[in-house]
Amino acid sequence: MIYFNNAATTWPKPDSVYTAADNFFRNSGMNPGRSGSMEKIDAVQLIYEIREKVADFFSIKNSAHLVFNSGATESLNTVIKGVLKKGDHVITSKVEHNSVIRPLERLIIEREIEVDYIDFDQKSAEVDYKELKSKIKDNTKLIVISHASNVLGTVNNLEKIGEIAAAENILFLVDAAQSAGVIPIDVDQMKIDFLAVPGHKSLFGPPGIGALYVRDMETLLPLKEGGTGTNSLKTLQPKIMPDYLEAGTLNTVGIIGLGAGLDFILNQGLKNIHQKEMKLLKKIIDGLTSFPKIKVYGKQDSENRTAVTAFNLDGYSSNQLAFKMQNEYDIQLRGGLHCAPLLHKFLGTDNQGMLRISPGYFNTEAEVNEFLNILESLI
Amino acid sequence: MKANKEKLILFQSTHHSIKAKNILSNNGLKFRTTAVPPVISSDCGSAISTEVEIEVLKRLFDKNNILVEAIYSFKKSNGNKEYKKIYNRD
Repeated sequence: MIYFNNAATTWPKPDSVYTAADNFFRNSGMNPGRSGSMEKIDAVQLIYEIREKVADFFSIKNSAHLVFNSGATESLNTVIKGVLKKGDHVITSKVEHNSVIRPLERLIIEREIEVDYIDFDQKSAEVDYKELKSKIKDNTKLIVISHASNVLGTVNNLEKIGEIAAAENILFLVDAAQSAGVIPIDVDQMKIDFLAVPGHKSLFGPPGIGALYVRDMETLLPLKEGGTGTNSLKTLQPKIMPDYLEAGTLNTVGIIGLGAGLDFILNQGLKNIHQKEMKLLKKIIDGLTSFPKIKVYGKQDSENRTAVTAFNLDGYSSNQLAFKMQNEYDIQLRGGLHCAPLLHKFLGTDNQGMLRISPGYFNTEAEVNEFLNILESLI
Repeated sequence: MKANKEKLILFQSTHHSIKAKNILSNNGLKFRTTAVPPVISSDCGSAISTEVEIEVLKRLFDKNNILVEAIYSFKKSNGNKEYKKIYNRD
């Protein structure tokens, strides 16, 4: 099987991730802090260390502000539903994933919030920064922007948007689903108030783990409340981080796996990983653009982007081609709308969809060659 | 034009399409998994193509709470398939 769907989830994981998760799960799968006895492996200590490591990775000074949860979708829901009240205005973009759009659309109904979805530049696929600024008004509470598009792979200038938000005292939520572990993120430099991070994509953790950075817990109510292993006499969720946003049993095995994934990145070097992925992506784009019957979307150069691109082949719908690739050639791509309905509507591809290809660190040039040869044989 | 007993079934979610496949298999009924044709939808998910009679399908799906989105019959005309919706969820 050739796996080119790393934008959905990375596969395979580094060997060390499987080993670390299995070792921890087998020898100490217990709840940190809830058992009174000495554990063979100190889960509390391990989780603390991984929290520190993840926080450091995003230049978060106080690791208590980095909470673990089930992924970027939970992080985005936590902020959107925790921050916004009746009559608040939100600025977001047409590049966003349904994990941003759906919670917002729910609140339009339930809490009468207002939402502006700004356009993006078709060539650069970056958001229209001028339009973003122009939409700011008195009741603008939150700006929500993806760092990188999960369809086109292009990267938005977070520093620029952070400046705009900070100047107007507007909270800034970044969806780093496609960029965490690919593009360096500094929450202070970029003036980010909330950062949604999936553990199972470019951080190489298992599915079901993610993180959320919260600059100031006073700015939101928790999405879920419950046991925290401390302060049990208090019947209101404790107002201390990370407990405030970490009710319930943590996905401890997931956290350990995420820690191992992060270690892998630090060992290999973020730059080296990105370089290799870009080399593969360039080869793919060069190949795709050489076929006259293929249309490649978004920008075609490899500067300032993630290893994601999308295309269509004349005569096929994206789902038909994806199905053929999978069933006849065992190549995993992703057809359809990629949970990005507004992007596809904006580009006019909401009927045809697009075929998204996202090579990862463990793909090879030989696999890219094989894919391009197969594509050529279909034309 | 060749009349076709084959039907294309779309389900309301992945859960229901997997459940349907399991039920059909358990009952020894033949089907094929197929991509959803672009003329019908660009959405994710797969469809089932089968020659099983509509009445049999309806009975099995109702009994097992399988939620069908739509059923299409189709005929081949000049190499193309033309789809006709014969059932829609209300």
